[in-house]
Amino acid sequence: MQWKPDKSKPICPQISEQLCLRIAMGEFRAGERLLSVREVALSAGVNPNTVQRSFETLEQEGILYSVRGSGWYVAEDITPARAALERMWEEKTAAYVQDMTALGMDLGEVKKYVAAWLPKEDAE
Amino acid sequence: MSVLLECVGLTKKYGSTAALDNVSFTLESGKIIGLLGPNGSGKTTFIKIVNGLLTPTEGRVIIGGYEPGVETKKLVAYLPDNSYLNSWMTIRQMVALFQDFYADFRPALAFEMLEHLGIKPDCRLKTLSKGNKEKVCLILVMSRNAKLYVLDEPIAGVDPAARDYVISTIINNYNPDATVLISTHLIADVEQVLDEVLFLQNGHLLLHRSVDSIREEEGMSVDGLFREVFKW
Amino acid sequence: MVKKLYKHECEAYLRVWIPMQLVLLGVALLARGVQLFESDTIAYNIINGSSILAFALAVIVSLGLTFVFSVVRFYKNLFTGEGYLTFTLPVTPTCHILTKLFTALAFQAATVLVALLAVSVVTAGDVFAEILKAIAYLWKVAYDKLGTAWLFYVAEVCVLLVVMILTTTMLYYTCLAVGQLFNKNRVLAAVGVYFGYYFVTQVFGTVLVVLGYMTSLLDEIEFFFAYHTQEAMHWTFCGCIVWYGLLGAAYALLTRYILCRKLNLE
Repeated sequence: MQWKPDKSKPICPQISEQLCLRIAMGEFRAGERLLSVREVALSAGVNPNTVQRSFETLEQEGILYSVRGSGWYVAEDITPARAALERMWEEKTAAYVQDMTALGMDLGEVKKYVAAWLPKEDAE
Repeated sequence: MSVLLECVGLTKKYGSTAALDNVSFTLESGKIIGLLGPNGSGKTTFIKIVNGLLTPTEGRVIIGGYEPGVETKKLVAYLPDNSYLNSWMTIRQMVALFQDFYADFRPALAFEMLEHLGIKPDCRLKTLSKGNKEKVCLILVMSRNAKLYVLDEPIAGVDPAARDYVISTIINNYNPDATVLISTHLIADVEQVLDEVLFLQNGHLLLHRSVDSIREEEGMSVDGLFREVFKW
Repeated sequence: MVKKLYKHECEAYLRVWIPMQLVLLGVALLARGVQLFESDTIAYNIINGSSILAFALAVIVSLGLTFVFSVVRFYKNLFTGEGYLTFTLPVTPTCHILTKLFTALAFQAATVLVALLAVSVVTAGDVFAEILKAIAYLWKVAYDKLGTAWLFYVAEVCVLLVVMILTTTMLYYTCLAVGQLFNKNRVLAAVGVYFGYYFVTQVFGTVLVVLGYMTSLLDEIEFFFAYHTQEAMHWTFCGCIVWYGLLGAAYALLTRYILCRKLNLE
């Protein structure tokens, strides 16, 4: 995790969220062992207590589980993570729409701009 | 989480000026705590008292159940602002000195860190560059398995890459039985590693809060709060 | 822990002491070597004289260096940046003071022994043997005349010597410590304290002597010495031992007080 947290908000939820999204996107397979708390703390440059609490938060949400003496593992059922990922998609989309509206774009135009990014249908 | 350090009504006066004025707080083990404040706020005075280098005028501080003395010096690892190295020893001899006097010193760890930084243990201390001297000082202190680490401006005179190294060393060395007290004015570089902060101004303790409560309740980073509180 | 402190103190000394002694012995060997070319020429006399002079200088430097080093070491190890390490070692300030004091004594004694050795090298043992014979003879004469009292004298003088060296060294340490009470120019202050104290003791001593004259005290002391010489000698030696001992203890206590309560490293 080379990403740097936003220091004006509590860091623990940021780490939980980051990890949650990456699990949802398949970066870690179900049952895979995660890096240790210390290793994650080192790579993010944050307090190990913070990482410990974020792991515990994800454990409460059912995304991770810990094995004593062994470490932290990704749960078999990562539905909560996927749900969080979808929520993030919705949030980002809402933010995009708000930003574009603030820049004076007509919402009818949104489709046109987004279409430029979509893969071309082989119409010919 | 047990209490490691407790100070009660700690005061240090020089003539009529109080470098520390009736400061009281407790620190728990397993936490990394920032001692923050502008120059002259009393941070160094407090640190010297904790290490038995100054005696308070009033009040007291208790570390691991003892007042500063021989017993606390066994528990406390101190990294002062300036180099404490002499000129004639080699690094290896300095490691041997630490090993002789501190039962909690881990020489293997020290040599490992030195190797990682490419510093040869048989160098004489006087031949080291300023940066390397600081690294050696840090390595020696962090190679102890102390109950309280007191780091006075560990990243102040040091380049950004070295700052990352210092922070990494602190994180790597973390142990739930130990407390790390970092005194600094470079808050932005250090705040993501802190559990709690103490703000000192003119010898007074302005606040003692967890970093999370600051971010949640004030909606800003510790650096941001510092700038507000200590605005000129 | 105290043993470790002595070990490290000795390490610090040896680093400077051994080369100095080797130089001294080297100069001694040189002076001796010159003598092998003995002749009645002016050239030889000049060279021989010079080498002996060089040797004498080397002895003086060696003795002086050891003493200066013990003072410098005290200052550097306790009152410069190194002090941050020294005073956070799990050792009491009393320990630090005593360790430095006794290590200084040991090395001063060792320096004297090496100097004697060097002298015997230069004189190829001839002169030295003569001196030893003379000492043995004087000893026998004294022992015959005075009996066990002579042994007591010898013991008293030895103890007095040791106590005086300790107290003198301790005085320098104390001046350095008192200098630390000032905020700036601490070394200069220490020097000032030393001369100030010296001046005061001189004045005090003079006043005592004048008082002695004015009362009949000096006369009585003279009388005592004349008619009870042996007792007077013992009283003098033991009195001096006690006086210097107490003085040294007072210096040590003052230094300890300063290190414990008044320390303020830069």
